[in-house]
This record gives sequence, C-alpha cells and structure tokens, in this order.
Amino acid sequence: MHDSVWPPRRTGQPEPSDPETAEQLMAFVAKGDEPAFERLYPLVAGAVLGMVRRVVRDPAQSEEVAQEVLVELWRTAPSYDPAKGSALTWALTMAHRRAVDRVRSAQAATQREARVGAESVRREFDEVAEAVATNLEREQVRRCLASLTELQRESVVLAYYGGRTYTEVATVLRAPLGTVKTRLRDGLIRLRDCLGVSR
Amino acid sequence: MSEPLSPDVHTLTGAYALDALDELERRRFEAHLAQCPDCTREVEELRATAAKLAMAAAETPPDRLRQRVMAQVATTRQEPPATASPVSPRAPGRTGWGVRLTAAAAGLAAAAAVLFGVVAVRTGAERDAAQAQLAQLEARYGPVAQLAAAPDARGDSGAGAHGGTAFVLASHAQDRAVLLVADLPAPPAGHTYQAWLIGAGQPRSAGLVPTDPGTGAPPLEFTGLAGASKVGLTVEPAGGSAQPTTTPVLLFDLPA
Repeated sequence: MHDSVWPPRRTGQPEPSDPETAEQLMAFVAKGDEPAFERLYPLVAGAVLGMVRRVVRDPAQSEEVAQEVLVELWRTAPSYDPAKGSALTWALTMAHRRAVDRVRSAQAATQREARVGAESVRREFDEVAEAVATNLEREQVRRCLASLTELQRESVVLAYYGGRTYTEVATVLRAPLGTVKTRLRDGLIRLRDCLGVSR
Repeated sequence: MSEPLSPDVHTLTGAYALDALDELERRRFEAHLAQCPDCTREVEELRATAAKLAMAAAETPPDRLRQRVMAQVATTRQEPPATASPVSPRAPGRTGWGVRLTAAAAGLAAAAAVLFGVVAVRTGAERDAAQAQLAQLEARYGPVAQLAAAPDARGDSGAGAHGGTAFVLASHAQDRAVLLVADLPAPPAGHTYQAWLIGAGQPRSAGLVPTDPGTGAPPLEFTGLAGASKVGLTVEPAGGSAQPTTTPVLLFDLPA
C-alpha cells in the first residue's frame, strides 16, 4: 500500500520531504485539492474495495459502493478530524457503513435470511482465513484472529465481513444475544491488543 | 437524553464499531456516546481495529474504478465541515440526535393522541397505566414521540396471562415499533421477559423486555416488522433465547 508511485505534481502547499501520509493528503483534499485526492486514492481504494466486496459479494454492486464511498471521502473531507482517528480508519468506517446499508436494504434482508445458517458461518470464516494469508499484514491479522476464542472469532468475522447485526450473529451461532454483544467487544479488544492498534 | 442507561450499554462499543447494531440501537448508542468520553475513545480504537480487518481484505482495484471516481470528483462539490457526531463520520445531511429530540418533543402530542385513541375503549385501570406510561415517555423517551409522529403510527395492547399489560406503538412505514409493559409480575430469578415478532415463519426476537418495578420500565424499541402479525412475550433464561422456549404469557396483534 505504501510503495505507490507518487505523481510528481505538487500543489501550492509546503512540500513534504517524505511520501505524504494519508492524513497530510486529507488536509489538502479538505481544501478541494483534486491532485492530492488522486494521490490519496491508491492509499485507500484497495482496502475499501476489498472490504466492500467481502460484505456485498456481488462484484458490480461492490464497485458501485466503493465508488460511492470514495466520492463521499472527497465530499466530506472538510469534516475529517485527525484527532479522532487515521484517515484510513475514517474511510474504512464510512465504507463499512455503506456496505452494510446496501446489504441490509429490505429486499436484500429477506434473501439473506434464507442464506443464514451454520454452514455460511464456516464458509465466511474459511474464506477469510484463506484470503488473509498472503502478506505480512494479512498474516498478522490472521494470527491475531486465531488468538481469539472460537465464539469471539466467529462473531467478529460474521459481523464485520458478513455485515450481520449482532442479533443475526446470535441466531446463526445459536448463542444468547448478551453473549454475542460481549464476545464482539472482547474479541475486538483482544484483536486491538494483538495488533497493537492505538487509534 | 438524561435517561439512565444500564451498565450493559458499554458492552455495545464492539457491536457499534462493527456496524452490528440495528438503526434504532445505533442511534440510542450514539446518544450515549455523546456523553461518554471513555466509550468514545474505546469506539475509536475498536474502529481502528476493524479497519485492520478491512486492510487484510485489500485487493487491487480495477483502473476503471479510479477513472470513475476521479471523473465524479471533478464534478462534485465538497460539503462544508460538519460539527456533528463526535465519533461518527456519517453522511452529512442526516440530522443529529439533538435535532431529532427537539423534533420529538413536538411529536409528544401525537404520542398522547395515539395512546388515548387506543385506550379509549379499554378499562379505567388500563387507561391509568397508559397515562402513567405516557408521563414517563414525556420525561424520558423522545424517540417514542418521534415514532408516534409517523402518519401511520398505530397502537394496540394486550393483557398478560398472569397480570400486567403491554402496549405496542408501531409504524410500518418507518419499520419501527416500541413496546411498553406495565405491572408484569417479576420474572423468576435468572429469567427475563423476551418479546417476539410472530408471523408466518419462526418467531423473531424483538429483544429483552426491560422490567423495573421501581421506576417503570423503559420502552423496548425494535424494528424488522415485515411479515409479523403478532407480538408475544415469553419468559426466557437471562440473556434471552434464539427461539422462544416457553408459551407466551402475553400475546396480541401487532397493529396493522
């Protein structure tokens, strides 16, 4: 993600000597700087599209949602506050919300009902486990996911990559709602500590 | 919102960071977040953690995506900075919780109208219970008023097999409803009342029913009304069940 070729073009801002961070770029983008947005794009687009595809699944719809999110990132850049999190987290939070909104539309919900089942949990988790094993960062996520209890891991994976509400997660895993709520939080906290995430 | 939230609400940080709350719960939790700096910080950290899960799923986007995005960016005006939610990078244009509450206050008259429309044909005791509930609503539950302001909001109530009453206010257009209970006998130790939406398929949980004999129970808000024709309450082990395990102690029609 960080080895992209930077366009030589710069704007009238003070020139950074190192490759720009997404946060620095967002400061330019917030002022309507399109070239800065073009340099930001490769830092976020891959994760946005990849995650949206995991949730939405349909490739054409996923691209649509990813496009909406990336344009939204441009549109709302003036509201981004680096004190509250990294630019990538901001973009991916937005992306996950949009992806989830898409799959939870009334019609989609009915279709999803029928698909919910124990096999789908297993499948979603297996797909993730497989998909995340290809580079160092993914390896770290995979390793940290593996350090969770089974119920924590399955709950987090179903909620995040599956776009499920915790109520749906509870139904699929046949676990009490309160237990799932707790597992989602405990699982994320354990992941946070394992991945060394601050904000 | 000065409503006392159960300590349990803090455990929702995880579900919230994963977008695993339904719309109603999400809004309630955001109202709580606005008053809870610790929760806000935790949510920020958990969102950063969730973002790692997204990064692990990264793939190489096709160049057509970049072209489309840049073309659209070139013709899209940026929004002015929002001063909205402390943690939620939500789409501008949605109103904040405070605004909703202000609007909700105006809707209380509508809540009362609906409530009294429903209870007019019922007994004095039920009416008294409903009036007491309304007083609590006015003091504590703006979202109910917001729901009651929906043009298609309808209410209905039922009496429990072992005493007590329940009242549901529902808007199918908004796909939202609230359930209020009064004078239900306390559930056995280690048990709780759970509400179910009952239709053609398997019953769906509408959530655990808060009961608090001292101060009156807060309303249970729920969504996903499609296909349901009845509302039932069962006694379940603490924490609730995936499917009802006992016969409903209270069963009545979901307002159409």
